[in-house]
Amino acid sequence: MSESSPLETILHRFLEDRECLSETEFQLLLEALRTQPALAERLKDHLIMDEMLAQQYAVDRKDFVGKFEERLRQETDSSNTPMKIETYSLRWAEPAESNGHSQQGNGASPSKTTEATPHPATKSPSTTTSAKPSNSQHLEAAPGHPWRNFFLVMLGLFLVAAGLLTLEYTPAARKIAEVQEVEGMVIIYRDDIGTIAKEGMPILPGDEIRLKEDGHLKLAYRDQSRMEIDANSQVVFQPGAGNWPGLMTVDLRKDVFLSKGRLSADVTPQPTGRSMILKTPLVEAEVLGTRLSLSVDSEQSRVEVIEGRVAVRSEERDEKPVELTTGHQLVASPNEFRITPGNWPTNKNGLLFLLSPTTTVSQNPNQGLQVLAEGPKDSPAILRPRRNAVFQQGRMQFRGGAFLAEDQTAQVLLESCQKSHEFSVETTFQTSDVNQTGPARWITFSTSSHAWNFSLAQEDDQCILRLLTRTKSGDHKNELPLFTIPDEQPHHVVVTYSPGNLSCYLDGKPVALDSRIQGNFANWTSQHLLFGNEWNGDREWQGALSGVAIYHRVLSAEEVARNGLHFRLRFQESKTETPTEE
Amino acid sequence: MTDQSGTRSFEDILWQTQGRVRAYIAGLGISRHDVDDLAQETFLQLYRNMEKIPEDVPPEFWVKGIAKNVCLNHLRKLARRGRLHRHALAEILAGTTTSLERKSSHDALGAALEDCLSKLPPERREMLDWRYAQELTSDSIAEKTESTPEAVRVVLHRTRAGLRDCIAQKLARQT
Repeated sequence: MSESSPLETILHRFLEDRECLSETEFQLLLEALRTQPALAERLKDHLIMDEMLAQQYAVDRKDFVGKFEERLRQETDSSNTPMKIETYSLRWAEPAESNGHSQQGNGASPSKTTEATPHPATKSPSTTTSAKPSNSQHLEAAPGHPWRNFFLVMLGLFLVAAGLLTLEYTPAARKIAEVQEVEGMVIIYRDDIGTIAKEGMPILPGDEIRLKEDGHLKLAYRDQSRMEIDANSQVVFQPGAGNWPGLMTVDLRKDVFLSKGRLSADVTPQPTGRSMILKTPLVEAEVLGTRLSLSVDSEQSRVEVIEGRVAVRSEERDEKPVELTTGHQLVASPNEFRITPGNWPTNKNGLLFLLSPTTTVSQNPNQGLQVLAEGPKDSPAILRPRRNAVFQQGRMQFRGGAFLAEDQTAQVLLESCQKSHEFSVETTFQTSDVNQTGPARWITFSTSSHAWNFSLAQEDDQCILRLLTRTKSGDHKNELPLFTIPDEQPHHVVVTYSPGNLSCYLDGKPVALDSRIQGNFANWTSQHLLFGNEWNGDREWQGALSGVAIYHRVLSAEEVARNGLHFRLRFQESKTETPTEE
Repeated sequence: MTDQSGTRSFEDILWQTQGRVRAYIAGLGISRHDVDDLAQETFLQLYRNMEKIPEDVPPEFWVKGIAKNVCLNHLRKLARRGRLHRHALAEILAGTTTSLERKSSHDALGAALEDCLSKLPPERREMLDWRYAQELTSDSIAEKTESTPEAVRVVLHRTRAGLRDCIAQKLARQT
């Protein structure tokens, strides 16, 4: 059968749309299928392939199991609801006169009021649609039992009182916080008995939590405060601390002692005198409502304020508390107690390349000038200048030259990004002229204008990004403007990408969010990592770059903002280090 | 598909067979927009009657049996126009077992499809993306490619046939 025969055309049309055939065409197809088993087999194969491709490509077909589970839940819920109502109505089913039903027997015998098995008589619409109101009607109308209501009221009061008293001592009442998320091995010790933490578990006063090297824990407090505890940490929730909402509602302060490791907290504003107290062996931080992190190692304690203010007091020095503000940290050890700006970068996870203003330079006759930047896990990443590029005052300064990273650094960048299919580039740039063309390269992972993995560059007064990606439909050389360069002052910029999510932040604020760029880095190839110019030297940029960091992960908006603030406080503003005592 | 106590877990059956059960339903000539609804109905019936699966019958075989009944019932309820034809078509296709179906119980089917897709020329992958991800008709694709709808349908037909052969070869090598 040729591909243009009428039957073949019918087959093709049917495969595209199962509803499109006329009666005659359908009849023709059926007759052919009956007489040609091979045709039936081919059609079925195509129908199966068609479905498999739809499952593979169509977004709304991917979560079949999730949608089925939702339907199953709805079916289960709808089939359970009447059962519950029947049980309610059964408890107070007699006397039946009040709702018009005639039932044998009267009086609420204990066995009947607690009976759980649905009774056919309770399936009438009147009892299944409004179970609770009918209960009270039954109570009021119960004839011939003058003492029953009295006993019931007394019994109810007794049960309420007993319940509230018991509640004071239940885990639910004494709960300080609740485990919201847990990863890896996290053990909660209560009365010297260790239990593996699970979502929903309450944290009670006196609990000690130990996290192993793979552990991570998120806790939620009743007042919406949040706490995250990192791996290898040990935390005690001080006895007497908590929030008891029983008969006598008493709000107690949240006292947490971190003996080792790291935690971070997002604390909602606390009532006066009931602030959260975070302690380490060396410091005590009183938190009225802020975001902060606290870390302890064998030598020092560190408190860093992400947002807001925290009063910190030394455990060993009899002094007034010092106030820490956003972007600053306090480092306390037996020998020092000082406030500095926060670290830059905030988090070195996924770091592939780091050029800090404190980077050193070496010069020797054999190697020439080398800038000793940092690669993954503190390994060296050496940069060499080309033509008129210099490293002065912690910045790469370009007047027609470039800095070239060693091939080893470029190879690590390539392999890591091809594994994660994510990356972030961070730098503080200062252009010498807001009108430069080329595009003039700031940071480029490329060999020429035609062979590149990514480039961050300036074209006129625009910062532009080039990014090579691959999707199912092929390779894409994406190019788009990110923002208008405001002036010739230093500005902090971060570009992050994961498939379908491109973000750009200028001075800590998002300036470009784009979901149009899709795909991964499977088509990236070996290229050169350069700063200030293209590999072949024909796209030079005039300006300066400092604080360059490249990661194989996406930085969060919060991390970007903190990095920008910390870099400015630490390296750009006048000396901010303010030792309180030497 | 059995848990530690030796009994079958509904969740395991659902996860492991849903893709092929949906393909089986589509293979009966069911409209694409009805496939997932009927598959859900199939798994609901399975959920309610898990205890009825005989010990010696592979769960997928059992589920496909339910699927067939669900589909034939569905076709009986359709409007009169075309109902008999569609029912007859489903009966013919249900009685036909293809080479791909015989091999499709293999767990590597999805991986084989992905592998075969990656070997397609970019223009074929783009056409599949238009057809299956963006759900464009052959008329719309023909406009994009400056071709005719029938030519587009022929290309899609050849692409599916090529993928089927590629998958069959891969599965044959693995088994």
